Amino acid sequence: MSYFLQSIVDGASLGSIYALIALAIGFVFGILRLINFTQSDYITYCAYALIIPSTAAMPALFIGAWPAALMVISVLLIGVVLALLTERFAFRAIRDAEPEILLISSFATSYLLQHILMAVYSTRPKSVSIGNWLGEPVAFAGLRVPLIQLVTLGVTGAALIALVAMLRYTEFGIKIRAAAENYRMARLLGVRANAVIAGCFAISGLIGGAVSLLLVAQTGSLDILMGVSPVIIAFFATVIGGMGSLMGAVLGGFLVGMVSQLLQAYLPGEAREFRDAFLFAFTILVLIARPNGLIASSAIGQRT
Amino acid sequence: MLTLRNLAVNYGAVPAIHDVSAEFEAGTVNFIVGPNGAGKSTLLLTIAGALRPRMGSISFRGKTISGMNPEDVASQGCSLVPEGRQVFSRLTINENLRLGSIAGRRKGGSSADTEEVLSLFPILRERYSQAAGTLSGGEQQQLSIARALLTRPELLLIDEPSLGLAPLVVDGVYEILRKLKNDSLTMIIVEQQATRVRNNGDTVTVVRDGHVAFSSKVSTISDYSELEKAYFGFS
Ligand SMILES: Nc1ncnc2c1ncn2[C@@H]1O[C@H](COP(=O)(O)OP(=O)(O)OP(=O)(O)O)[C@@H](O)[C@H]1O
Ligand SMILES: [Mg+2]
Repeated sequence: MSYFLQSIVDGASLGSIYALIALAIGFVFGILRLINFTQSDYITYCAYALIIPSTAAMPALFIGAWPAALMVISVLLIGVVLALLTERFAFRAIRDAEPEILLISSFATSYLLQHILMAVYSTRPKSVSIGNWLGEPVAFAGLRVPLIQLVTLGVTGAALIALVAMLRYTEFGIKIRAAAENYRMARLLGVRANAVIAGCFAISGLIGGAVSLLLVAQTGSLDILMGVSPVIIAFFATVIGGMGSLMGAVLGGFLVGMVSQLLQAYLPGEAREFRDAFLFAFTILVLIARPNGLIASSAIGQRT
Repeated sequence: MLTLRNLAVNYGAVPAIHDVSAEFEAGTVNFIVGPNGAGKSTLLLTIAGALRPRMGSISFRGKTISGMNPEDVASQGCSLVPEGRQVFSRLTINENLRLGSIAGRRKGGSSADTEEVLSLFPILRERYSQAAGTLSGGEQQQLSIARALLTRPELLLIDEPSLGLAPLVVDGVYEILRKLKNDSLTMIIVEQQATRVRNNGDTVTVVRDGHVAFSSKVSTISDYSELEKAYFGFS
């Protein structure tokens, strides 16, 4: 029983990260119909900013050596700046292009960013020790849970609530929802497209930075591809939740995280390394049952 | 107030309107009529900045607005109530209206505007926090007009306000448009039929096959057969 509960806590913590990334993808997709693969680079770049550029396996810390608060703020800021740069230079000029063009451009930009990072840091994975104390287990509801799991849940939970409140109650949130439902009509009413889209990218970058810190604290390692797999899985989460529905993205993220952890916990040993294959099969099954995702959106695909 | 000069607009390589020139005076109600596919909606969308003209120019209150973004045209005081109303169905009525006031505030509007506009549309006040998608067609048309008014326009473009509405509901919509005319708001109203022109319009322009086939002051039309000929393309 406690093994099961343990898996649930792990699943919720992982799921909350997917939910957060899914939300970032959903923000941009909702308005631009752009599947933003550079989201993975926001995560990776923020993580690599922690170390001094080098090809060593045990690099010296750069931003990672700064006082915690300063480090967190700097990393988040880097995520925001990078996201705004991709918006300005990769996507703005082709904003009105067909979704296929946007998708290809998003792939290409992400690839370019990855290779720049490779050139500077090499592809060798690196270990960093930041916030080791977060790995200490603490007693929680009768379980011994690594503190980082609770921190992850706390941070992502707070971020999700803040984002949902922002969407629901602020003027900026109303503009985002309006633009997501009918981009042209929002602009006809005077909603500034550049500001709203840049805002959505900035939020994506902020999320990228936060996810990056949580991942590094959890794994203690850096990898050129560290952002790719969570973003792809979060992308599945948005598909499962229903493209274009932000609540669906959050729900899908939690679901995928949970399923992934339960597979990890209960698959027989030799099947575990195929966990992701099971996860993808699960995605396909959900889509066969509900082609529009769990929360169907009426405005899928077309940008009006 | 609004001058169109030799306007041409394409969808891809296909021309939708060509060589449209027209002049609309401040304080007037101007009808644009024409059959399906004539290019009426295209014309309004182009004026509002949602489509780029291939040729020609648009000037509004002495300023060239062709080539501007829709949000900038809106800030200049030109607001479009598009075909099919296009309310944000997942947003509440209140939120739909707030979107209009955001632009309106940039032009010195205030929360009093919302009160004033709502007094024209009592039904909207009653259902303030419901999703706009739950409104009936006529109510959505009212919301769409109210929302546009909150941007504090000098010129209101309305595309087929009667589309899909019962005649009695259309009367209600025109009742409101008459009140707006009395407040000397300049309007360009697109309709498929010319039936409302005589009682409500100052000028009428027939658009057919992407160009202006007829244009006149309503007061000087003695015989509507010429307008009908232009409409149906007889020569
Ligand atoms: N998005 C579009 N892409 C390609 N062609 C279009 C598009 N919208 C309209 N057209 C074409 O442009 C022409 C003018 O269309 P428009 O919608 O302006 O006509 P309309 O006068 O408003 O017609 P209706 O009375 O049916 O609303 C038509 O031939 C139409 O098929
Ligand atoms: Mg039309």
